[in-house]
Amino acid sequence: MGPISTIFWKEFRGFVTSPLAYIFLILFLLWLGVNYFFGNIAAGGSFTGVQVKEASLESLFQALPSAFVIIVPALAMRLWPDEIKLGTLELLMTFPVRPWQVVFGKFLAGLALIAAALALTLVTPLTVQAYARTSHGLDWGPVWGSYAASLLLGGAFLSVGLFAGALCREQVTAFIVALFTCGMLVMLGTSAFLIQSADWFSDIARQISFTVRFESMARGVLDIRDLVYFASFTGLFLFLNVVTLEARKAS
Amino acid sequence: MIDVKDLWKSYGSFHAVVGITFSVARGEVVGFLGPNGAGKSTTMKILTGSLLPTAGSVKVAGFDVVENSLEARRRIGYLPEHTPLYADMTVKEHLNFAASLRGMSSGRAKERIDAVVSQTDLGPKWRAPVKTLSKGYRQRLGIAQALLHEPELLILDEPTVGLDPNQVVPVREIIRGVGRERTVILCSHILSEVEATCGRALIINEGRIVADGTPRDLASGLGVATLEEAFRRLTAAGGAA
Repeated sequence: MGPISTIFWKEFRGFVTSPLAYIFLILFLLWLGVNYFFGNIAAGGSFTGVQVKEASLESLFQALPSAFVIIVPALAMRLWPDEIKLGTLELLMTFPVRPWQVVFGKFLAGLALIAAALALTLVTPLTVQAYARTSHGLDWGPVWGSYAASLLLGGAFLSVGLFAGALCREQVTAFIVALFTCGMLVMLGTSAFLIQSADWFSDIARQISFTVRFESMARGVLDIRDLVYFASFTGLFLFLNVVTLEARKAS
Repeated sequence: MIDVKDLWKSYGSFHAVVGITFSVARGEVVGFLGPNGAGKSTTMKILTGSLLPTAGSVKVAGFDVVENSLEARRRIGYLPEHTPLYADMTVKEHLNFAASLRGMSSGRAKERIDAVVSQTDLGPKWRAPVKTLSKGYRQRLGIAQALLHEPELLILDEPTVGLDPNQVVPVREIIRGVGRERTVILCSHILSEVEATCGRALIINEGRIVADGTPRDLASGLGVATLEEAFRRLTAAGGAA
């Protein structure tokens, strides 16, 4: 664990000491908050929760993939390009550490920040719980399912962002590449897209996309296939990241 | 200490290093000389494990830098060209980071950090962020980091480039001090520096070693007075310039 935790703390400290991380954190919370507020009004509820038949957080998590599509690549973009541009990658590679340890340490640091951002959104379910007029209060099963799904989704996006960063010297390029990739993976599975595409294509899109899997997990349906999909997707991109580092040495 | 046999490094059809062979004994201070683009830095990157050779074998302290890369890297202290450092860290954080990445215990880290800070006279900048350091202090931090784990082999790639004369002198004194107890490779094209600090000079040109000996022998062997003239004689293309 030695080198991994060293890299983890270096990157985590880098996040919490950069103003950028806070800006994105605030935008993330605003985006979710605004969506939840209007989502519930549009659904016929009222803000005090009196008329809401069911204490639900569905609209909170509906907005989450679209928020992550922007926030996660923005967080990930600082992890590699600067190291490549400033030559610290070369320095890092002369320490007795293996590339996978560096990649994993960076990944965990990003994931910790995503987890922290998600933890801040707990305010919403706690408020709903406090104001819920139903006899049982909030049903926490789907809530925890949604949080687990969100963390898996964030991890998958992060692995894409890291890989994009390892290929690029410029943060902006890494950001745009990751933004488009993650955006496509979400868009492919939205109902608007699935309805208008041919059957055979929507079947494939449903399998590849994150959205369908995310929504089913967010409803509290834990399917082992969804877990395997997210884990192997993330693992694949982290592996590609390691391969990129090795290839850079051999180039 | 270093054993390089028939080392090649090619980028596509361009050969940066063309089958060089040399060895360096423990305790030697060797100047690695050559014009820009001669293959000096490429060779150093291969020695330190940040670049893989195309062909040939490289051993550091008996460990192959490809097969046994981590063991070799544990024995090398390296100051890369242009001194890459993390700008957002302070001097203290940077040295702690390096110690932690080298797997030092906190007691040993503290002891070694104190030692290298006094050796390179970084005390006044202990809490300064790296981005605020002058070039001279950046260089000292780079060297301090390279010396942290008491490496058997110290490799410095152009440690005094861009420094003013007031900054050069202390850096050179550090190198001379280290050279008394460790094996040092000093890449440079400042010939007076090599003459002043190194017992042996290797001259590389277009990826090949073209001379190897004490600075004095290199000059007298070619019938010239200084290492500078020997360098010009050996590396100037077609006698131009």
